[in-house]
Amino acid sequence: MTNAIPAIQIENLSYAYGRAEAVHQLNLNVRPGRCYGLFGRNGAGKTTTMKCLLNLLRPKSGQIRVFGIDPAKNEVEVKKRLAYVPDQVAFYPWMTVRETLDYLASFRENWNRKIELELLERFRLDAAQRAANLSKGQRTQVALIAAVCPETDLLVLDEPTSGLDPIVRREFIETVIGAYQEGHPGQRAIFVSTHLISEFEGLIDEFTIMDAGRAMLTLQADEARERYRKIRARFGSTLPTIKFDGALSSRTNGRDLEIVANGASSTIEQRLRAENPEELSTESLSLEEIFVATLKS
Amino acid sequence: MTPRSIQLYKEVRQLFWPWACLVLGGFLSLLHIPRDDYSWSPVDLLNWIPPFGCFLAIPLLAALPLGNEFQHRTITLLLAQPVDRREIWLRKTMVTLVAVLPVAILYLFSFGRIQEFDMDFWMAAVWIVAATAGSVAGTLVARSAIGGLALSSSFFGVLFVAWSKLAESQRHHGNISSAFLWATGIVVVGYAVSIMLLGRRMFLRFQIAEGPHGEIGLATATRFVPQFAIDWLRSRPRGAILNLIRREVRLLRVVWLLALLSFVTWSCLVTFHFVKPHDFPVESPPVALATLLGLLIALLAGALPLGEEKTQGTHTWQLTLPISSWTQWSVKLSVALCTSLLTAVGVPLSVLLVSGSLVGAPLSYIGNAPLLVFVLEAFIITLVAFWCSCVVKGTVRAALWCFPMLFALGLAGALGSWMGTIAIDHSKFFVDLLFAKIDPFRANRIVTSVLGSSGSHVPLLAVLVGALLAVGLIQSHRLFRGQLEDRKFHAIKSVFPPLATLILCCFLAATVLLFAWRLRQEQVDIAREAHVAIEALETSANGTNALNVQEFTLDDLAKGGPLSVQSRHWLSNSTIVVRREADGTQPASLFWPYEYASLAPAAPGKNAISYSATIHTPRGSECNLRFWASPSSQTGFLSQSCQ
Repeated sequence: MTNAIPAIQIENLSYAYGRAEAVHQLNLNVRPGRCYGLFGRNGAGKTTTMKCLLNLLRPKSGQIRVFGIDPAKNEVEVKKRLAYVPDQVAFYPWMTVRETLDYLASFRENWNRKIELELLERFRLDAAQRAANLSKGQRTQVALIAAVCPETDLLVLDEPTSGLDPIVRREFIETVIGAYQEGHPGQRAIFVSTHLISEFEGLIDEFTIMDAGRAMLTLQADEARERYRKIRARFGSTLPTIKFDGALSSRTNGRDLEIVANGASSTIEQRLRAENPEELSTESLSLEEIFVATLKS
Repeated sequence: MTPRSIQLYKEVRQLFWPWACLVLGGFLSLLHIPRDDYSWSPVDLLNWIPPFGCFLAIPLLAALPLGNEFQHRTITLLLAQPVDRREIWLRKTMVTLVAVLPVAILYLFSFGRIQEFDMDFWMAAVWIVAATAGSVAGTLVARSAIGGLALSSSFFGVLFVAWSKLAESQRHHGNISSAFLWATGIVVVGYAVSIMLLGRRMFLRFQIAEGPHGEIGLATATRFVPQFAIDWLRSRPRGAILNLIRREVRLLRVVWLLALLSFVTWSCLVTFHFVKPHDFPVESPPVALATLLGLLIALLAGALPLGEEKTQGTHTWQLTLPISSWTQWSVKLSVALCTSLLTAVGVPLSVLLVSGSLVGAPLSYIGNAPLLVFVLEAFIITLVAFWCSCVVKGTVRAALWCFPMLFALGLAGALGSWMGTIAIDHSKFFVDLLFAKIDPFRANRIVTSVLGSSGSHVPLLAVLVGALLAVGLIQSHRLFRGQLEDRKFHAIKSVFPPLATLILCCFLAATVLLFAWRLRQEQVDIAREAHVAIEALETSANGTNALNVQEFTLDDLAKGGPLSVQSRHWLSNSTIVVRREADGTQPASLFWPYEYASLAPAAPGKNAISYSATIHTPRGSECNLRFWASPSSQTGFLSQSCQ
């Protein structure tokens, strides 16, 4: 029954900083148990969307529900059910890591000490170290521990891996996030905004690409991989002059032709085959390539 | 523009607005507006500008060039540039001196006009020189402008109190010797040069450690905090509200340090007899300085908790925790107010009480101290500073915004009162129309509830303050939980609701007060006219074996003395029962709040006759007059109570 209620439901969300519109008529739906990616360039409106979700910003119009609850009316109820990692992590400089985690635990009904210890060990963090002396990456690590330990139903991550070294980044994405969702399969949702799309490739179930505050593309990850394909063809002599409908972009390099197709890959492939290419191959695009292709087109 | 001028422009630009505000304040303080009455007026605030400027604002201005780098976290960027640190220091020092010098001259001139260029003037000058010179060293140690100001002030403050004592003793022995002034000049110049060079040396060797500001200096200070306090301040996995309180206490760590300084300062003032039993010289510079320190503490108690969080970037993150913003806001404000009262008022008060106890009279030192004024000042300054910290980003900005905001509030109050007075004066027709309709005898209870029993206006003031507080607090919570908009005029726009509320409240208060006052005056006028007539009638009947109890009508009274149109109107068809009292009888106690007494004459050329009278009006109201006088006296006390 709980699964019927979306973890996040955003309808026609708009927000403007003065006259500058940051988010325009955004719609998205995150179901429980899913990992939802919000992709976009700098200033696309990702952080503004997340802040509206957390009731840090009051939308100019539109509606937001988190597990069916309006964050503007039941702020605390919503925040009890989610954990947030901001893009810029700041802690009280006088507190140690231990004190910071204790401080944050005091606001939660549930706090998994076992996971906390495991993660402290995995990240090689000294609990007695002062927050003032932590590096940017270490601060992010503490913030991630603080987000995972309350075992909330929703994890909201705003550029969570920025500042992390590649090893910790990979470990975090593969192990921590994976373990978080496996802790309560089908129940825990993740809403993540990131530039490092390739690193979340295997985790993302669904995504929205934003540009200038507008949703450019919303798709299931598998559907996207199915729909967006890269077709490479090598011809013996000169390239045929064919106009391809449904091609997002095409690029030539000598005798090589590369086409990015949006849903019409089989038609394009058939037409190319008719031109007798020396080589013809088709492959799915990665989410990062889809992101680039969508924004470039 | 050359690279050098671009760098210079950046230094000048960041100082310009605080500097411009200071200059404006300095010119305002030069205005001398003579006033006849002793009631409070916002014009009185002008007298506070010179000491505030000399002892607080100018040292803060001097700390800004370097303090801003810490505030905006640009110190790393600045020191990473391929420029010699000596050049950076020189540029900052030159800009500071150029900014401070004209402002210092302006404020000292203004200060001198009030203090007539005596010793106090020189004390202010010495303070400015020393605090400006020590600004770089203090800011580098504390890693913030406010912390730097506090550190350099506290370091020099102790020397200043000792020097003030020497200056005082010189003054007691007659004129201050030129040798003393010369010695002072040499010591001050020596101190200024030494501390400037120390600041330069510290800047050249300055290391940027990871983490926010002030931690190294403050970490040193926290070594002296007792272990039990450290243990209590440590966050626990349970008890969210207590953890919030602990966090606030730690955010206010600069205030606790200043409270310690305040304790030392007040102890010195008592020890060196700047403050004596039954002698609290508020205008003496060391005492004024200690009082200013209290105000600075109150200011920081309000500005620091949220200002620091916004600077460190923890505020937004705190709002994502599963605890309501209302709770967080309430805890923050409550702890700020309690800390302010405890440190800004409680510390001096406890020192004075303990000192009094040591001489056998605990209250002797605080006998003349305006305690209630200190409490109110601390309360108001903390509230305004907290409100400012909700509006703007950072402690320094909030503290700087506090001064114009306080002045604007005073001005808004005066404007509202003035508009109320003008409105009543210019609507005579409507006021007379209302007076013609309102029975002054029946309106007594309303008039008393508005004016208060002794004319203190407390009920009305309470309503006024309550309305302003409600608007200010609701707005501050709204701003607290909202995202800060770094737009132009955002802060100025936020100022309008409380100012408009204050203007409206003061306008209404002034009109209601004036109206009530006139209503009471009309009642008094009618009663006094009736009294003069009764006295005349009683005196004429005195020799004719007058009855003890007599009943008069309006026509009878008209024979006794002249009655105005108003009196004739409201007393028509009334019966006035007069009972003669024995001369010199002491009156029974007055029945406050409905009864009050005033001096009233007897009939012209006759001795007064004591009596009590009851006026029964046809509208059912009853007004009792009591007049008592000494035998053979031509005046007595007339009291009236109407119901």
